[in-house]
Amino acid sequence: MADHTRCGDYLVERVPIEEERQKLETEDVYTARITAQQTSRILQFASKSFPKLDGIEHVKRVRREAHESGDTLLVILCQCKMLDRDQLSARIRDTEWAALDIAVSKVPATPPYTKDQFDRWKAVWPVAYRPLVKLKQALFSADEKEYVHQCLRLAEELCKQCDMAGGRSVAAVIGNPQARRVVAQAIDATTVSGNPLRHAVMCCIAQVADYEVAREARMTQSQTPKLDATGPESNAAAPLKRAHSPCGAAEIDDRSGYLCEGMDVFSSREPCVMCTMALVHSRIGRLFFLDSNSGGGISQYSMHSHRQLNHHFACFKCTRAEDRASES
Amino acid sequence: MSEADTERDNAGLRDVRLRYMEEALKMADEAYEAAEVPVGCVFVLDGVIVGRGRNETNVAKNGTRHAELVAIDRMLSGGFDSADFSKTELFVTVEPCVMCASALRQININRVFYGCANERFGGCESVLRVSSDAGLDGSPYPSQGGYYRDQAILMLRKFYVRENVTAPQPRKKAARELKTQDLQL
Repeated sequence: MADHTRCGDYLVERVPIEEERQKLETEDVYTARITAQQTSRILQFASKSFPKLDGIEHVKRVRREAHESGDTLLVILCQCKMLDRDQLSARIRDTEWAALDIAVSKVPATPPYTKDQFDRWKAVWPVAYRPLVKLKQALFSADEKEYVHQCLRLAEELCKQCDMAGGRSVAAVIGNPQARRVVAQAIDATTVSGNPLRHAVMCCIAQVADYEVAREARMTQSQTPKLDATGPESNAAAPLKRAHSPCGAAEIDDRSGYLCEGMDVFSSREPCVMCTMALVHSRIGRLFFLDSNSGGGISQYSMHSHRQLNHHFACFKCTRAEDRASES
Repeated sequence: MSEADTERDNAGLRDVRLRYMEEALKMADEAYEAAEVPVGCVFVLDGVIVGRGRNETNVAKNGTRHAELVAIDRMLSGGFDSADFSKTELFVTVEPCVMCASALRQININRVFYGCANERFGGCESVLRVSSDAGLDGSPYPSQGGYYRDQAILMLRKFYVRENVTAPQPRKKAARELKTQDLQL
């Protein structure tokens, strides 16, 4: 179902978002069988006599249906959860619609997000289909494929350093997709620091933050000229910091970053729940990971697209193309 | 022990916990004064406060600098033995978010007490049940809310009627009022 893309040595496969995994659920509505000529009048009547449709805006109001009495339409009057049958009858009894042929019909309870869902939903009742914009983010340009390849390879190479350092073998890289450059990189530091929370992803986020804090300090300093000796001294630290940091491009320096908004994260392993939520808090744009982690935030909770969380990001499971070939 | 005795004992325990929560609220107040989201916490081992933290996401420009993680970092760099977390209780003014709830599992925290629920990010009951679900890293722990709940909510409301100038598009909040009628303070 999800899309595959080849980025250099890697196969990149988008992890479906929660909505794409949505199974067909239906809801009951009262429908009336009418002729085409009656449509606008009955819709007028319904709008002033019944509660407004709520949460099923994707459902079309009318369904054409062949019937023994010729071509007829089924029109939705209201949702069954709003009125019981007696209440409905009471509102119709003394009107011109008293003899209406009313039935209960099923309609899809959620909108279709994929073509596949659309085909299954519309067999139940006509629905509108608006593909999710964020699903289209899987398309990569040639330049971008090379950048994804480089970042994933860097994460894998950093992993080899973990083996030498004796820690857990996890590495992460943060990239700026506009500049297509690495802006932070780290290996798992839990063993070396004695802090069980110093995961590679957390270290990368901290690097971006420290860089932003330092950048802002430099800007404030350059705006307020100081004549004492500490001025030039602290300014001298700026280029040193820049040389140390993997970023150097002017466009990154000028970025007025809010946390890691819109950035790409490349991790050798699917982040744990703590790290995945850290990425949500940091407002990243995309996550690419190599090894799956059954206790991770994507596998456990689909946190990249969790309905109750305030930020979503695209997520890609990556495999070395040669591994994929040897599997099959 | 009779039932009445147990009840008296539980009431005494609640008073002790409320005193620790007062310390957590002081940390939250410190965050408020520093224009940070007012959440504070203390860690307690054998009746002694061994760690304190409060939110510092804005000054650090780091969305992960929540009170709990700040306190844990400080404790560990100050020589606290990470093995002792399994005997340590956390008192935090707001239900830990999903990130912190997972972090607390990974340090094997003994138990968590909090003030109010965290409807947007809560990892103990509100959004996900990271504290108790099976299959995650670290060990599950019991958690319990309702310690100075209304005071914790009041602090957050006070904060959110102010404008968050660090947000990408700060919202104008001149028309906002601080509501307190529904709280027992």
